[in-house]
Amino acid sequence: MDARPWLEQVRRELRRRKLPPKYVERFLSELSDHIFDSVEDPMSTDARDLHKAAHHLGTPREIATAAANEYRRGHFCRRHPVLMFVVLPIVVLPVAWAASLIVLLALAKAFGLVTGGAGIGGAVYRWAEVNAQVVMLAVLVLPLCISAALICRAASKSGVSWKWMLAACSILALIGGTAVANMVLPGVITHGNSSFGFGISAHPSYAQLLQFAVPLAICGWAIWRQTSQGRGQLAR
Amino acid sequence: MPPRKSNPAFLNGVPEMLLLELLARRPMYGYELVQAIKTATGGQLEFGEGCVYPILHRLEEQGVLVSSRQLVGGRQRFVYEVTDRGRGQLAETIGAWQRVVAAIDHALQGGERGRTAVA
Repeated sequence: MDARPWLEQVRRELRRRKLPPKYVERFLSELSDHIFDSVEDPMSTDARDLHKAAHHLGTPREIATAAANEYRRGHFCRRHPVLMFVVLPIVVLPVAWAASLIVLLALAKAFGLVTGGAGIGGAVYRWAEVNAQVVMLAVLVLPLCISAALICRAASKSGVSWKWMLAACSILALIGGTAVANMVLPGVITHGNSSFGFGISAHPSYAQLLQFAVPLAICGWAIWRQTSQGRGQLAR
Repeated sequence: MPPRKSNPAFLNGVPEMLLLELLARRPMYGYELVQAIKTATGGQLEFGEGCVYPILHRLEEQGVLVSSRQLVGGRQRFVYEVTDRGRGQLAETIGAWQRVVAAIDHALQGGERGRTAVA
């Protein structure tokens, strides 16, 4: 009796449960070894009977169910992909933006750039005057970069499908692409201020295009890295 | 095909403890480990042998086991061994298990004022 049809059935069941190819191949190679060990074991009642040996392993459905359950138990991202890759990006981005704006305001206050006064005309003020728009862009783009990188890393480490990574980064890109921020430095008699909001326009600014593209670029790189690593491991 | 006997739900976590205990004694590959479970438990625990591998993979991912490809008996096999973290986890699990067993045993023997067991 040939064990290959049984192993093929297991492979089909595992694929039906959307387990990653790398995991499936490793598992099948161990099951195949197990069957041959069982047949070759002189103490085993399965000696020379591949069908019986395969039966002792369990039915393909049982095995695939156990594998899928254990696989998902192994990582939070696999158990709750919607929470991790759909809900989390929506929540994490405003929090990250708020945090970076607070840091920016704290720095501006420390250098006397919020209320004017002593800071006006100084070296820091002149630098801020020239680079205000760049700083605001960084305040928007850096949280996007960090969020996209962390989410892609979590997806890669947990071995979930690249589609989840793409979903999360698309959400980040859509929210990021609509964000606008502005900063006005204080004058001698006026206070400085910064504003933050969302807006969609038929002609988005370069900053908005960049905010849209950055998470998708990080996602593209992460998917390329994941697939090339996967191919390398399968080849080995 | 006769219906497969499976372990009841209250044995959650027990297969992991058993696998870690056996692998803490010496590194083993899958088939060897399944035979060791049968011998160690006197065949009392029945399970689909194939279900051992997904548990091993999860434990490996959690860092309590490591596997390496080794040539055993003329064939390349995945040999599993327990990490230091795994040994720590095993000690904790055994402690918790023993407390629960003692508490249940006490209750079954008619004890009314037993101590609280924390698993």
